[in-house]
Amino acid sequence: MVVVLGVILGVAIGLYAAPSLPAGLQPYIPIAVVAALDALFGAARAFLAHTFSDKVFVVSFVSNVLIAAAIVWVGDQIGVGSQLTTAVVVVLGIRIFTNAAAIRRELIHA
Amino acid sequence: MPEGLEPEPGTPLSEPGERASSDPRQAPRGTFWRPSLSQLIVAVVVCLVTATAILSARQRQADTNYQSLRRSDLVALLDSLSSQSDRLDSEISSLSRTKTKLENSATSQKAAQEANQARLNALQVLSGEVAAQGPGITVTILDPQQRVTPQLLVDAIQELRDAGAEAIQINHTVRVVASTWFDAHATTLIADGVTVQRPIVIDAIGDPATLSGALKFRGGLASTVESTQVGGTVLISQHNQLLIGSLHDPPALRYARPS
Repeated sequence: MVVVLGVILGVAIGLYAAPSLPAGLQPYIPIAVVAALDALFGAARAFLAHTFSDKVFVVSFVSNVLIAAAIVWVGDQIGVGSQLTTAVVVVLGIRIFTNAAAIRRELIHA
Repeated sequence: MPEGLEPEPGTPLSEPGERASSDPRQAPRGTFWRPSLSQLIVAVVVCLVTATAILSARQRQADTNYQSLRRSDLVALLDSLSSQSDRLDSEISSLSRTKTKLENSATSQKAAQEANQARLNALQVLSGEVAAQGPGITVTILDPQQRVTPQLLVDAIQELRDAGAEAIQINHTVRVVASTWFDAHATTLIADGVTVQRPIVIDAIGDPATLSGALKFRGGLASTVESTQVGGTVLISQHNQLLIGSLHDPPALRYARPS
Protein backbone atom coordinates (compact mmCIF):
# COMPACT_ATOMS: atom_id res chain seq x y z
CA MET A 1 0.00 0.00 0.00
CA VAL A 2 2.81 2.36 0.84
CA VAL A 3 4.40 1.40 -2.47
CA VAL A 4 1.23 2.34 -4.33
CA LEU A 5 1.18 5.63 -2.45
CA GLY A 6 4.77 6.18 -3.50
CA VAL A 7 3.87 5.62 -7.16
CA ILE A 8 1.00 8.07 -6.92
CA LEU A 9 3.20 10.63 -5.17
CA GLY A 10 5.89 10.21 -7.83
CA VAL A 11 3.39 10.73 -10.63
CA ALA A 12 2.12 13.83 -8.88
CA ILE A 13 5.62 15.24 -8.45
CA GLY A 14 6.49 14.46 -12.04
CA LEU A 15 3.35 16.11 -13.35
CA TYR A 16 3.27 19.21 -11.22
CA ALA A 17 6.92 20.01 -10.68
CA ALA A 18 8.55 22.23 -13.27
CA PRO A 19 10.70 20.22 -15.66
CA SER A 20 14.03 21.58 -14.47
CA LEU A 21 16.44 18.69 -14.82
CA PRO A 22 20.01 19.99 -15.20
CA ALA A 23 20.99 20.14 -18.84
CA GLY A 24 24.30 18.37 -18.32
CA LEU A 25 22.59 15.35 -16.82
CA GLN A 26 19.87 15.14 -19.41
CA PRO A 27 21.32 12.50 -21.75
CA TYR A 28 21.82 10.15 -18.78
CA ILE A 29 18.42 10.43 -17.12
CA PRO A 30 16.63 7.99 -19.48
CA ILE A 31 19.39 5.40 -18.97
CA ALA A 32 19.17 5.90 -15.22
CA VAL A 33 15.42 5.40 -15.35
CA VAL A 34 15.82 2.17 -17.29
CA ALA A 35 18.39 0.98 -14.77
CA ALA A 36 16.05 1.87 -11.94
CA LEU A 37 13.26 -0.09 -13.61
CA ASP A 38 15.62 -3.06 -13.84
CA ALA A 39 16.42 -2.75 -10.13
CA LEU A 40 12.72 -2.54 -9.29
CA PHE A 41 11.90 -5.66 -11.28
CA GLY A 42 14.79 -7.47 -9.63
CA ALA A 43 13.45 -6.38 -6.24
CA ALA A 44 9.98 -7.65 -7.09
CA ARG A 45 11.40 -10.97 -8.17
CA ALA A 46 13.45 -11.25 -4.98
CA PHE A 47 10.41 -10.31 -2.95
CA LEU A 48 8.39 -13.08 -4.51
CA ALA A 49 11.28 -15.52 -4.09
CA HIS A 50 11.49 -14.47 -0.42
CA THR A 51 15.07 -13.38 -0.80
CA PHE A 52 14.35 -9.64 -0.64
CA SER A 53 16.72 -7.55 1.40
CA ASP A 54 16.22 -3.83 1.67
CA LYS A 55 19.93 -3.23 2.02
CA VAL A 56 20.69 -5.22 -1.14
CA PHE A 57 17.84 -3.43 -2.91
CA VAL A 58 19.04 0.05 -2.08
CA VAL A 59 22.67 -0.73 -2.89
CA SER A 60 21.82 -2.49 -6.16
CA PHE A 61 19.45 0.30 -7.14
CA VAL A 62 21.96 3.06 -6.56
CA SER A 63 24.83 1.16 -8.14
CA ASN A 64 22.74 0.17 -11.18
CA VAL A 65 21.71 3.74 -11.82
CA LEU A 66 25.19 5.14 -11.29
CA ILE A 67 26.95 2.48 -13.35
CA ALA A 68 24.51 2.87 -16.26
CA ALA A 69 24.91 6.63 -16.28
CA ALA A 70 28.68 6.33 -15.90
CA ILE A 71 28.96 3.91 -18.83
CA VAL A 72 27.05 6.27 -21.08
CA TRP A 73 29.08 9.22 -19.85
CA VAL A 74 32.35 7.45 -20.62
CA GLY A 75 30.95 6.48 -24.01
CA ASP A 76 30.11 10.09 -24.69
CA GLN A 77 33.64 11.13 -23.77
CA ILE A 78 35.22 8.67 -26.20
CA GLY A 79 32.71 9.16 -28.96
CA VAL A 80 30.66 5.97 -28.77
CA GLY A 81 27.92 7.36 -26.52
CA SER A 82 24.96 6.45 -28.67
CA GLN A 83 26.24 2.90 -29.26
CA LEU A 84 26.88 2.38 -25.55
CA THR A 85 23.44 3.76 -24.77
CA THR A 86 21.97 1.16 -27.09
CA ALA A 87 24.08 -1.55 -25.49
CA VAL A 88 23.04 -0.62 -21.95
CA VAL A 89 19.40 -0.40 -22.93
CA VAL A 90 19.56 -3.80 -24.61
CA VAL A 91 21.21 -5.46 -21.61
CA LEU A 92 18.85 -3.86 -19.11
CA GLY A 93 15.88 -4.69 -21.32
CA ILE A 94 16.88 -8.34 -21.43
CA ARG A 95 17.25 -8.37 -17.65
CA ILE A 96 13.86 -6.70 -17.24
CA PHE A 97 12.23 -9.31 -19.46
CA THR A 98 13.96 -12.14 -17.59
CA ASN A 99 12.82 -10.77 -14.23
CA ALA A 100 9.33 -10.19 -15.57
CA ALA A 101 9.20 -13.81 -16.75
CA ALA A 102 10.32 -15.03 -13.34
CA ILE A 103 7.71 -12.84 -11.62
CA ARG A 104 5.03 -14.15 -13.96
CA ARG A 105 5.96 -17.76 -13.24
CA GLU A 106 5.94 -17.06 -9.50
CA LEU A 107 2.59 -15.29 -9.56
CA ILE A 108 0.48 -17.35 -11.94
CA HIS A 109 2.64 -20.46 -12.33
CA ALA A 110 2.66 -20.15 -16.11
CA MET B 1 -8.34 -2.11 -4.32
CA PRO B 2 -8.66 -2.50 -0.52
CA GLU B 3 -11.41 -5.08 -1.06
CA GLY B 4 -9.25 -7.10 -3.45
CA LEU B 5 -6.30 -7.09 -1.10
CA GLU B 6 -8.07 -7.40 2.20
CA PRO B 7 -7.98 -11.21 2.38
CA GLU B 8 -4.20 -11.11 2.26
CA PRO B 9 -3.62 -9.85 5.79
CA GLY B 10 -6.26 -12.27 6.98
CA THR B 11 -4.50 -15.28 5.54
CA PRO B 12 -0.91 -14.70 6.35
CA LEU B 13 0.15 -18.30 6.86
CA SER B 14 -2.27 -20.51 4.97
CA GLU B 15 -1.55 -20.16 1.25
CA PRO B 16 2.15 -19.36 1.09
CA GLY B 17 2.69 -21.52 4.13
CA GLU B 18 4.48 -24.43 2.49
CA ARG B 19 6.89 -22.29 0.56
CA ALA B 20 7.54 -19.72 3.23
CA SER B 21 7.68 -21.97 6.27
CA SER B 22 11.44 -21.75 6.53
CA ASP B 23 11.66 -18.15 5.26
CA PRO B 24 12.34 -15.53 7.91
CA ARG B 25 11.15 -12.77 5.57
CA GLN B 26 7.62 -14.08 5.41
CA ALA B 27 6.41 -11.70 8.07
CA PRO B 28 6.31 -8.43 6.02
CA ARG B 29 3.79 -9.89 3.61
CA GLY B 30 1.31 -10.25 6.40
CA THR B 31 1.74 -6.77 7.74
CA PHE B 32 0.34 -5.03 4.71
CA TRP B 33 -1.23 -2.17 6.57
CA ARG B 34 1.73 -1.66 8.86
CA PRO B 35 4.54 -0.79 6.43
CA SER B 36 7.92 -2.07 7.37
CA LEU B 37 11.17 -0.24 6.74
CA SER B 38 11.80 -2.11 3.49
CA GLN B 39 8.38 -1.23 2.18
CA LEU B 40 9.00 2.41 2.97
CA ILE B 41 12.34 2.28 1.21
CA VAL B 42 10.78 0.68 -1.85
CA ALA B 43 8.03 3.29 -1.84
CA VAL B 44 10.51 6.14 -1.71
CA VAL B 45 12.59 4.62 -4.49
CA VAL B 46 9.54 3.97 -6.65
CA CYS B 47 8.40 7.53 -6.04
CA LEU B 48 11.77 8.89 -7.13
CA VAL B 49 11.91 6.71 -10.25
CA THR B 50 8.38 7.60 -11.30
CA ALA B 51 8.97 11.30 -10.78
CA THR B 52 12.25 11.20 -12.70
CA ALA B 53 10.76 9.22 -15.57
CA ILE B 54 7.79 11.52 -15.94
CA LEU B 55 9.95 14.62 -15.61
CA SER B 56 12.32 13.45 -18.30
CA ALA B 57 9.43 12.49 -20.57
CA ARG B 58 7.87 15.91 -20.11
CA GLN B 59 11.17 17.64 -20.68
CA ARG B 60 11.72 15.65 -23.87
CA GLN B 61 8.31 16.74 -25.11
CA ALA B 62 8.89 20.36 -24.20
CA ASP B 63 12.45 20.33 -25.49
CA THR B 64 12.96 22.83 -28.27
CA ASN B 65 16.44 24.13 -27.60
CA TYR B 66 18.44 20.99 -28.52
CA GLN B 67 19.87 20.76 -25.02
CA SER B 68 19.47 17.00 -24.84
CA LEU B 69 21.07 16.26 -28.21
CA ARG B 70 24.54 14.79 -28.51
CA ARG B 71 27.41 16.69 -29.97
CA SER B 72 27.57 14.66 -33.19
CA ASP B 73 23.84 15.09 -33.75
CA LEU B 74 24.23 18.82 -33.22
CA VAL B 75 27.12 18.98 -35.67
CA ALA B 76 25.13 17.11 -38.30
CA LEU B 77 22.16 19.38 -37.71
CA LEU B 78 24.34 22.46 -38.01
CA ASP B 79 25.89 21.16 -41.23
CA SER B 80 22.54 20.51 -42.84
CA LEU B 81 21.24 23.89 -41.73
CA SER B 82 24.23 25.79 -43.08
CA SER B 83 24.13 23.98 -46.42
CA GLN B 84 20.41 24.67 -46.62
CA SER B 85 21.07 28.32 -45.84
CA ASP B 86 23.72 28.48 -48.58
CA ARG B 87 21.29 26.99 -51.05
CA LEU B 88 18.58 29.45 -50.07
CA ASP B 89 21.02 32.36 -50.31
CA SER B 90 21.97 31.46 -53.86
CA GLU B 91 18.30 31.06 -54.70
CA ILE B 92 17.58 34.52 -53.29
CA SER B 93 20.35 36.13 -55.35
CA SER B 94 19.27 34.42 -58.57
CA LEU B 95 15.65 35.37 -57.97
CA SER B 96 16.54 38.99 -57.26
CA ARG B 97 18.63 39.08 -60.42
CA THR B 98 15.63 37.81 -62.37
CA LYS B 99 13.46 40.41 -60.69
CA THR B 100 15.81 43.25 -61.65
CA LYS B 101 15.93 42.01 -65.21
CA LEU B 102 12.16 41.82 -65.44
CA GLU B 103 11.74 45.27 -63.91
CA ASN B 104 14.19 46.77 -66.41
CA SER B 105 12.49 45.13 -69.36
CA ALA B 106 9.09 46.24 -68.07
CA THR B 107 10.28 49.83 -67.76
CA SER B 108 11.81 49.94 -71.24
CA GLN B 109 8.75 48.22 -72.67
CA LYS B 110 6.50 50.81 -71.07
CA ALA B 111 8.63 53.68 -72.42
CA ALA B 112 8.57 52.17 -75.89
CA GLN B 113 4.82 51.75 -75.65
CA GLU B 114 4.34 55.38 -74.63
CA ALA B 115 6.54 56.58 -77.48
CA ASN B 116 4.62 54.42 -79.91
CA GLN B 117 1.31 55.75 -78.62
CA ALA B 118 2.46 59.38 -79.05
CA ARG B 119 3.67 58.60 -82.54
CA LEU B 120 0.42 56.89 -83.38
CA ASN B 121 -1.59 59.89 -82.14
CA ALA B 122 0.48 62.29 -84.24
CA LEU B 123 0.19 60.14 -87.34
CA GLN B 124 -3.55 59.71 -86.89
CA VAL B 125 -4.01 63.47 -86.63
CA LEU B 126 -1.81 64.07 -89.66
CA SER B 127 -3.59 61.45 -91.76
CA GLY B 128 -6.98 62.74 -90.69
CA GLU B 129 -8.21 59.51 -89.13
CA VAL B 130 -9.21 61.12 -85.84
CA ALA B 131 -10.75 64.41 -84.87
CA ALA B 132 -8.31 67.02 -83.55
CA GLN B 133 -8.64 69.97 -81.25
CA GLY B 134 -6.44 72.79 -80.05
CA PRO B 135 -5.76 76.48 -80.62
CA GLY B 136 -6.05 77.67 -84.15
CA ILE B 137 -7.67 80.08 -86.58
CA THR B 138 -10.75 80.16 -88.76
CA VAL B 139 -10.32 81.79 -92.17
CA THR B 140 -13.48 82.83 -93.99
CA ILE B 141 -13.07 83.77 -97.66
CA LEU B 142 -15.97 85.81 -98.99
CA ASP B 143 -15.89 85.52 -102.77
CA PRO B 144 -18.94 87.24 -104.24
CA GLN B 145 -17.54 87.19 -107.80
CA GLN B 146 -16.62 83.51 -107.56
CA ARG B 147 -13.06 84.13 -108.71
CA VAL B 148 -11.19 82.04 -106.15
CA THR B 149 -9.30 79.39 -108.06
CA PRO B 150 -8.09 75.98 -106.93
CA GLN B 151 -4.56 77.25 -107.32
CA LEU B 152 -5.30 79.97 -104.80
CA LEU B 153 -6.73 77.44 -102.35
CA VAL B 154 -3.68 75.21 -102.75
CA ASP B 155 -1.46 78.22 -102.08
CA ALA B 156 -3.48 79.07 -98.97
CA ILE B 157 -3.25 75.50 -97.66
CA GLN B 158 0.48 75.47 -98.37
CA GLU B 159 0.97 78.75 -96.52
CA LEU B 160 -0.92 77.40 -93.54
CA ARG B 161 1.23 74.26 -93.55
CA ASP B 162 4.39 76.31 -93.80
CA ALA B 163 3.24 78.22 -90.75
CA GLY B 164 2.91 74.99 -88.81
CA ALA B 165 -0.74 74.06 -89.19
CA GLU B 166 -1.18 70.53 -87.95
CA ALA B 167 -4.77 69.83 -88.97
CA ILE B 168 -6.82 71.64 -91.60
CA GLN B 169 -10.39 71.30 -92.76
CA ILE B 170 -12.47 73.13 -95.34
CA ASN B 171 -16.11 74.01 -94.81
CA HIS B 172 -16.31 71.58 -91.84
CA THR B 173 -16.55 68.70 -94.33
CA VAL B 174 -13.21 68.14 -96.09
CA ARG B 175 -10.20 67.20 -93.99
CA VAL B 176 -7.06 68.32 -95.76
CA VAL B 177 -4.42 65.60 -95.82
CA ALA B 178 -1.41 64.79 -97.96
CA SER B 179 -3.49 63.38 -100.80
CA THR B 180 -6.14 66.10 -100.88
CA TRP B 181 -6.63 67.56 -104.34
CA PHE B 182 -8.43 70.64 -105.65
CA ASP B 183 -10.20 71.17 -108.93
CA ALA B 184 -12.71 73.52 -110.44
CA HIS B 185 -15.68 72.92 -112.65
CA ALA B 186 -16.47 76.25 -114.29
CA THR B 187 -16.68 78.36 -111.15
CA THR B 188 -17.49 75.46 -108.85
CA LEU B 189 -14.61 74.53 -106.56
CA ILE B 190 -14.05 70.85 -105.78
CA ALA B 191 -11.86 69.45 -103.03
CA ASP B 192 -11.36 65.67 -102.74
CA GLY B 193 -14.46 65.21 -104.89
CA VAL B 194 -16.66 67.36 -102.67
CA THR B 195 -18.11 70.62 -103.89
CA VAL B 196 -16.81 73.55 -101.88
CA GLN B 197 -19.62 76.00 -101.20
CA ARG B 198 -18.96 79.71 -100.85
CA PRO B 199 -18.14 81.35 -98.54
CA ILE B 200 -15.10 79.13 -98.00
CA VAL B 201 -14.32 78.44 -94.35
CA ILE B 202 -10.87 77.03 -93.54
CA ASP B 203 -10.12 75.79 -90.01
CA ALA B 204 -6.49 75.22 -89.08
CA ILE B 205 -4.96 74.09 -85.80
CA GLY B 206 -1.63 75.59 -84.95
CA ASP B 207 -0.19 78.67 -83.29
CA PRO B 208 -2.93 81.28 -83.99
CA ALA B 209 -0.61 84.27 -84.29
CA THR B 210 1.80 82.51 -86.66
CA LEU B 211 -1.03 81.21 -88.81
CA SER B 212 -2.64 84.64 -89.03
CA GLY B 213 0.67 86.23 -89.95
CA ALA B 214 1.26 83.63 -92.66
CA LEU B 215 -1.98 84.66 -94.39
CA LYS B 216 -1.62 88.42 -94.02
CA PHE B 217 1.81 89.14 -95.46
CA ARG B 218 2.08 91.07 -98.67
CA GLY B 219 1.47 88.76 -101.61
CA GLY B 220 -0.14 86.15 -99.36
CA LEU B 221 -3.70 84.84 -99.33
CA ALA B 222 -5.31 87.95 -97.91
CA SER B 223 -3.71 90.37 -100.34
CA THR B 224 -4.41 88.05 -103.29
CA VAL B 225 -8.09 87.59 -102.44
CA GLU B 226 -8.61 91.26 -101.69
CA SER B 227 -6.87 92.37 -104.91
CA THR B 228 -8.91 93.77 -107.71
CA GLN B 229 -8.66 90.56 -109.77
CA VAL B 230 -10.57 88.54 -107.13
CA GLY B 231 -12.37 91.22 -105.22
CA GLY B 232 -13.12 89.10 -102.20
CA THR B 233 -12.73 89.51 -98.46
CA VAL B 234 -10.74 87.45 -95.96
CA LEU B 235 -11.87 87.28 -92.33
CA ILE B 236 -9.47 85.70 -89.85
CA SER B 237 -10.51 84.87 -86.29
CA GLN B 238 -8.23 83.28 -83.70
CA HIS B 239 -9.51 80.65 -81.25
CA ASN B 240 -8.04 79.17 -78.12
CA GLN B 241 -9.97 75.98 -78.64
CA LEU B 242 -10.89 74.80 -82.09
CA LEU B 243 -12.38 71.43 -83.01
CA ILE B 244 -11.73 69.82 -86.37
CA GLY B 245 -14.30 67.10 -86.60
CA SER B 246 -14.25 65.98 -90.23
CA LEU B 247 -12.35 62.80 -91.00
CA HIS B 248 -10.47 61.42 -93.94
CA ASP B 249 -10.78 57.73 -94.72
CA PRO B 250 -7.38 56.42 -95.77
CA PRO B 251 -7.58 54.21 -98.84
CA ALA B 252 -6.69 50.56 -98.47
CA LEU B 253 -3.12 50.14 -99.60
CA ARG B 254 -2.66 47.75 -102.52
CA TYR B 255 1.08 47.87 -103.06
CA ALA B 256 2.89 49.66 -100.28
CA ARG B 257 3.70 47.67 -97.15
CA PRO B 258 5.46 48.83 -94.01
CA SER B 259 9.09 47.75 -94.15
